[in-house]
Amino acid sequence: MLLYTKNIGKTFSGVNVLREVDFNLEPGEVHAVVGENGAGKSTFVKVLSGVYTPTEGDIFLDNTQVHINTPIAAQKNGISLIHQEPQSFSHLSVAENIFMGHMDGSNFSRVKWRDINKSSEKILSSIGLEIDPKNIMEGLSIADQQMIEIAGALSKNSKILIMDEPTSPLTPNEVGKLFEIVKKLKDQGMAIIFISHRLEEIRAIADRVTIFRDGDLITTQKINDISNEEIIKSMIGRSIEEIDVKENEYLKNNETILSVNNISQFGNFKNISFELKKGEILGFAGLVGAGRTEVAKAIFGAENFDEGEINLKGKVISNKSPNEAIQKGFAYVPEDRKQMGIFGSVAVEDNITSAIPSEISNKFGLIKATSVTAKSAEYINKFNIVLTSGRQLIQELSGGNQQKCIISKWLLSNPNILILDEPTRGVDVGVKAEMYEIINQLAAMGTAIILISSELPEILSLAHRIVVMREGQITKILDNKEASQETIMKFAIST
Amino acid sequence: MSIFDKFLRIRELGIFSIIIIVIITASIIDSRFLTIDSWRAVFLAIPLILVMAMGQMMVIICRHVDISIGSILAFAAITIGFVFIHYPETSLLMALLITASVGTVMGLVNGIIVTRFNVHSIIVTLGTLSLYRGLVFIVSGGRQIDRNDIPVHIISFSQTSFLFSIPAILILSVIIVLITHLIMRHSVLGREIYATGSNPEAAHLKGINVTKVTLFCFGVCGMLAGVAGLFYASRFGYVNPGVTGVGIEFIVIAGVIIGGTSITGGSGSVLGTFLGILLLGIINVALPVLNIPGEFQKAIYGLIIVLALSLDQLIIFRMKKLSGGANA
Repeated sequence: MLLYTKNIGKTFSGVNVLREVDFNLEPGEVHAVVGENGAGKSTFVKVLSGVYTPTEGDIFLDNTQVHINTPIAAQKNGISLIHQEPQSFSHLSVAENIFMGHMDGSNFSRVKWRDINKSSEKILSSIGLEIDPKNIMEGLSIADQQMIEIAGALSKNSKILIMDEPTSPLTPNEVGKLFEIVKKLKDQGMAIIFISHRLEEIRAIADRVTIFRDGDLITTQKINDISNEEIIKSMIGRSIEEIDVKENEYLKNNETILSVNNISQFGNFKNISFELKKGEILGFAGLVGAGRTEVAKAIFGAENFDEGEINLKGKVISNKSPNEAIQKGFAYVPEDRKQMGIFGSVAVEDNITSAIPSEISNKFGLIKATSVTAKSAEYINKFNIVLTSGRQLIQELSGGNQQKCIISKWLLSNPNILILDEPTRGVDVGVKAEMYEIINQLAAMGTAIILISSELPEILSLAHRIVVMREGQITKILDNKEASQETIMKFAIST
Repeated sequence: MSIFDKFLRIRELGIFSIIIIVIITASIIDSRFLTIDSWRAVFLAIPLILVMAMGQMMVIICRHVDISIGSILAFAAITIGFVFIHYPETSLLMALLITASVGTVMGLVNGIIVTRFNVHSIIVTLGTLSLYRGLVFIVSGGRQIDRNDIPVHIISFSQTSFLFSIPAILILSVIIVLITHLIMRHSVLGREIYATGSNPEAAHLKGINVTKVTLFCFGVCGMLAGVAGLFYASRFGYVNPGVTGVGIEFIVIAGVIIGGTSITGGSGSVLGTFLGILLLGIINVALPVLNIPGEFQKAIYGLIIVLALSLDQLIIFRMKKLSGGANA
């Protein structure tokens, strides 16, 4: 056994977030770790990688007890953590990103540029990445940055690689590439701890799976000995039913609210035409980079388009700014929650009411605290947002709860057209189901919804019609009945 | 990528073009600007600012800023002035050591407060700007150091030298600039400074001692501000508690930023900073030569700095578009 833990526990201000965890890892295995957000899996890998010190329990590496109190100690012991969001130095070269922190020599030694460039090239080509190590990091895709972080771990001769949801920012193509590398590393004897929310992926790559729930390690099983249903059941302690596309009253009226005619934005998308009906959920499928987000932003007025026109209820409109779009009943929930969706160091209540300043202020423009609380409380209850109080800072909430806050914010402005860009990214299974419920309810109330998602099962179980995009163009608009993962992918991938 | 393309991507190109534009404009308006005398004036004005800019650049690359350098300069200058009064035979080397040490201590105090108490460096150094200036008054009792207090060999430091009569002060500054370049571009520590400024969180996770790196930058910045104090005494021949070094942080920081150092950390180069300071030096000398009335000079100086900054940002934006277009 390469690594095992005994009775690991972790307490934060009196709250047990991890209890008596006995975990073991074999060399040359991919060990999936799953659990809902807050189940303790992140805390556990942070203990292994030296970010947190356990309150109790011991860690053994090669049968000797080790003390991993800092990330550096973890790295010295051959444990490297690959972060979900790559931790890159965008101003520095690829080679520097790989070797930063463990270059030869001390402070005033010369950096051996030739050596680190050469070693970087070797490591990069060993994982099949064709990038000049002298290139500046800025502008590289998330996938490449992630590979470079893996290359950094390899340059330190790590024996254990912990990957925290590595696939969530990747396109299906990139996921395939990542898996090839993971398999290669595994064949070389590397042990990999793989955290993911996507069961298909775990099934494709993992040898064993460990399930966490509420701070306890529920079970560790060989992946072939456990079914998806059993995994989900262990994760959430209840079983989850598959949901089907829900019809609603408004759909029957077939009332077109938005029609987009041949809009183009040079370099990003071309000749985009589609119609959106009241009460409809229109899915946008395609690979990351197909231009879906750009189309959404153009409709919302966050970006300009060069040609074509947009009709709202039969009238040509042009949204020159998001503010104008909001006035006309549009709402846009962006993909990048942290950067574009929330005001992190601001209270939950204020975040939720931030799009309706006129409704929470008096005639002098001063905010009325009571209406802030009243307005936000409605959705905090309705969406079951877990928090200590409305004054809690939004950045302290889990990803799923933050997402619910963002959606609440937009619903308060009573939009007719709601654009959701990857609404369930990084959200766990339980919250996902709640989100689906919310989205269906909204459609049933007559809201027209554009749903951009890279998760096909999500699109298939929500969208009435599915627009498939590829390289900036619409390749097909499918009815839900004729759509399957295969047909969508056929139109999404260039051949 | 063609050589021309590569050339267009050099970050310092923007500032270099601005310098050329300023020189051409100034010489068209008045050809006196192209005389050896003006250029001598430029290169005599630069060393003091240039040396301080090296330290400031390191601090800014590391995602901080040190506003207190003018007061550090004054304190080092007043200290060395009193040393000269009591020990007129103090050697140049000794004087350098003393001012450097005084500056280092003051810089480190800034750094320690910033790292230990996690206070933003703008606030900390705004405070010590006033604190150190206060110390100058306390130590000097308000007394000015006069020309006859400063030994001849110190005055001549900024006037003559063994090498083609280039002032020694200029040679020393060039050496400091070259050492800074070597550290920033080619040493492990230098790259760690860039890494820390680029992404402090990631730097910490990679095992870089962020506190040590930050302290180093503040220490060097203080040290060089201290050395600039000696430069000041040598070049101007007096040190006045209420005047010396006042407002100099604006020129230094402006020069560093004009030179392409990102105010948000992680990028910047010695060459760029040198060009930035050179531009400010040229403008400073050009304004009087061009017969611009004294009362207008300060406003025009400020205006040109703001214009240069905007123009440079515009050029970066164009360059980004250019390279973006090439990738697509």
